Amino acid sequence: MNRIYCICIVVLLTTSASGQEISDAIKSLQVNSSPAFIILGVEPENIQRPNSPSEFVANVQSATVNNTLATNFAMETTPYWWGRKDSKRFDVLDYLTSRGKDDYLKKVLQSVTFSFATSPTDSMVIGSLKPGTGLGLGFRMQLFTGHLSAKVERSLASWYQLTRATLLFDNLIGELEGDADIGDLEDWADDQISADPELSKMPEAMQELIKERFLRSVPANPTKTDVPKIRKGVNSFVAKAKKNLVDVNSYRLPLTREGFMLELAGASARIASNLEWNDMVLAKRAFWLTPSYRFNVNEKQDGIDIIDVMAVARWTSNVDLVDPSDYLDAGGKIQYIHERWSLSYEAIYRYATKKPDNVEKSYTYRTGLTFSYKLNDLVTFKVTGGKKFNGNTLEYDEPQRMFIVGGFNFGISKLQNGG
Amino acid sequence: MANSNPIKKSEPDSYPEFEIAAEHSSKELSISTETTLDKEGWNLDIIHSLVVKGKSLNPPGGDLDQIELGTCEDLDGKKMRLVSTLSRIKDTGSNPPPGASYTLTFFVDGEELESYTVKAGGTLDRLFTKIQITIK
Repeated sequence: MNRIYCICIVVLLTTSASGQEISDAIKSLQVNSSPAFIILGVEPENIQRPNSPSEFVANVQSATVNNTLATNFAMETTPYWWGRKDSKRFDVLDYLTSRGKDDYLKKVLQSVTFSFATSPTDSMVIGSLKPGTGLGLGFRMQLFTGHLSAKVERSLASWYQLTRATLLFDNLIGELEGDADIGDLEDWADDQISADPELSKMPEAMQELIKERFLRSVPANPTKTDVPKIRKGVNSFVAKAKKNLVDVNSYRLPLTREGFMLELAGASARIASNLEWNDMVLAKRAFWLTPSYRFNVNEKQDGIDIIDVMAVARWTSNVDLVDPSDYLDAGGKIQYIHERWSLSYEAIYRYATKKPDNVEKSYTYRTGLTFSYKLNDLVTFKVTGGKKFNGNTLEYDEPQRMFIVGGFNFGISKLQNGG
Repeated sequence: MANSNPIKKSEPDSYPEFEIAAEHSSKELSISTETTLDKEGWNLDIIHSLVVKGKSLNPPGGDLDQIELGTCEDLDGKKMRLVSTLSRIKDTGSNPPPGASYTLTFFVDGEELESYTVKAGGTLDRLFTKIQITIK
C-alpha cells in the first residue's frame, strides 16, 4: 500500500527550496526517479552508473548470481556518454541555445537514460502474481529542456566567446616567442580554429565572430616585437570575460532553466517468482509524458522566485493477475518557490479502463499540498497532506482517506574537479 | 635538480630553465594537470593554450591528461608555454567563488618526474607556465 503510494507521489511531488534541488527541480518533477525504479515502487539508495559498455555488462552480470536475480539492484546509464572522458565535465554549450544545427538531436540523445532495477515484490504492485523478485526496465528522454534566462545567456555566451578567443592570442604569443613563422594571419587563425578542440566545437557563427575580433586586434604580419601589443589585446579580452562571468555569478541560480520542458519515460516490470532469469512473467508496462513550464518571476538577481506549472499523462497496462484494469492517469501541479521555502499543490486523476463489479466507480484521484523549508545546505524539512488513492482498482473506493507525511531530506554532494 | 615552481599567476617575460636529468634524455616528456575547487555548488571551466617548440599543440579543455610533448632530447633548449584559464560558473553554490588548487605534473615515459601546485582564488584565473627545457 505504501509502496504504490510512493509510486504515485514521486511522479509529481517532491521538491524543496534548497539550491541543489531547485536546480534539479524540473528533472525531479518530471520523473522524480528512474522509470525502472518507479515501476517497481522502489527508491534505491545505491545506484550504479556504468560509463562504458564493459562496465555496463559487468554491472548486469553482478545482478545475477548463479543465474538467479539479485534483489535490490539498481543501475542507470546514459549510453551517449559511454567511453567519453568528459562525461562529467561542465560544458557551457549545454546551456547555450545557439550551439549548432545538430543541437536538438544531440541534446535528446544525451538525455536518453536506461534504468534497470530489481526488488522484492510488493502485493500492491503485482496483485495476485506469485511473489518473488521484480525486475524493472525503463528509459527516459528530455524532448525539450527549457533555456536560461536571456540576461544570463547573453553574459555566459559573451564570456564563452571571449575566453575561447584568448586561445588564439595565447597560441600566437607562444608561437612568436618560440620563433615560429606565422605566415598569413587569417590562414593561421583558420588552422587554429579547425585544430583546437575547444574552438572547433563552437558554432560557426561564433567562430567567425572570434576570428574577426582577433584579426582586428592583431597586426597583419605579426612578429616577436608585436608580442606586448598582442598581450595587451588578450588582457582586454580577459578583463571583459571576467566582467561577464561576475555578472553571471551575481545571480542566485544562474543555470536554472526556464520555459517549456517535456520529458518522455517508459518502463516495464517483470516478476521472477523463483528468482530465475528465464522464468519471468510480465506484470505491467507504463509510459509517462510530463510537460512543464517554469516562470522565473525573480526581480532581484540574488533572489529565488519561481513558479512551476506541470502536468503528467501516464498510461499503465497491467496483466490480469496484477489488475484486470489498465490505468490512465492525468494530473497537474502548481508550485511556488521563494528563497528557502516552497509551496505546491497537485492533483492526479486515475481512470480504470475495466471496472471490477465490486467497485463503485471507474475513477479515483489523489491530491496533495506540500510545504518545504530549507534549513541549511544539507537539510530540508518537508510536509505533505492530502487525499490519496492506492492505485489498484480493487480498492478504488477510498480516495477520501486523508494523509499527512512529514520528514527531513539530507543531501551530500561532491566537489567539482576539472576532469 | 632544483627547479622552482614554474606556475605563475601573471605572465613572466622570460622562459627560465627547467632542468631534466640527462638520464631521461631518450624518454618521452608529458604533462598533466589536476584542478579542484574548494567549495561545492560551482562548475569549473578550464581551457589551455600549450605551445612547445613554437608550435601550438591545441590540447582539449578540462584537465590535461598526459599530453605528450616529445622526447626530452628533442626538447632540449626548447620553450614551452602553457596558459591555463580557470573560470568558475555558479551552479547552486553561493558567492564568493571558490578557490582552486591547480597541480601541474611532468612525466617521463609515464612516470612522475616533478609536480607543482598553486592555489588560485577568483572568478577567472590565468595560470602561466613558461619554461625552457634543459637537459643536464
